[in-house]
Amino acid sequence: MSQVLYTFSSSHTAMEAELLCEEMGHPCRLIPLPSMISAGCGLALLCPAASRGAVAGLLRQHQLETEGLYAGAGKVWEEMRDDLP
Amino acid sequence: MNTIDARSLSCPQPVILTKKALAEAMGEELLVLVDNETAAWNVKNLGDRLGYSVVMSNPEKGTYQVRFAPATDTQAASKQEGGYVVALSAEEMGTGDTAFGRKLMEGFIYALNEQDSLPEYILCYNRGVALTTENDKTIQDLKALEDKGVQVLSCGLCLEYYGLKERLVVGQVTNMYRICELMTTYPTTRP
Repeated sequence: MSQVLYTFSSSHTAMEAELLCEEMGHPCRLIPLPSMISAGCGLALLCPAASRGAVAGLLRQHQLETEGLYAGAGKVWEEMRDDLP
Repeated sequence: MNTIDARSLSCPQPVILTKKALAEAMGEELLVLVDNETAAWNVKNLGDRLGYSVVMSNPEKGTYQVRFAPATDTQAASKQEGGYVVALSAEEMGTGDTAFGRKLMEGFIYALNEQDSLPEYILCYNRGVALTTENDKTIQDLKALEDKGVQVLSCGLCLEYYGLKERLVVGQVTNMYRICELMTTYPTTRP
């Protein structure tokens, strides 16, 4: 399954983003930030690629700033541009 | 073949009798009869852990057969080498903010799926049984672990105490004897 991963500058923002997605019925969840993206600790929001546009819009609407967007699965992720509305 | 009729006996008696019989059987085949599926799984899991080849069947309503073929040295040895157990005793990982602790626990179980070396067993007890009954994210990841051959066991007493017995959706029910046995046999990881 094609997935995208949003990263955030704080774990509070990440948790807020997951809650918001749950409330809006998007099947997203937090996972530990994969080591390939950063050696540091962190939480990232994992979403189906199909929800990418809707989730990006939702996060912007609620002013939850993302740090990065990645596509991939498991341990392998590639950074991408979030150019959708 | 030796036969133990443990029908009508309540948990954990069938497991205790089976363990005793296996110790006395000295390489002979053993057939254990129980009257419910949970007891059958508990007896089968005991055999699996001890390295026996175990076959479970349900020939008639109210009777489950668990058949033990003798363990080989190789099978028994392979069970003892390198295995570990993960014990989950709470919904949260560590102490502190509850919501954050839950995210940590969900993250731990997700990350466990990514490990090259998986545990033999995951034991859920006390509020840890919420992870096999209530939390959709941990249920999903525990099912994935189960598909990879990890046995997920939830404490039956705990499920009953928290009113979650009917909500178990991943793994099997176990008892304190089994939990105690596993935690004293395998190195145990407690997140």
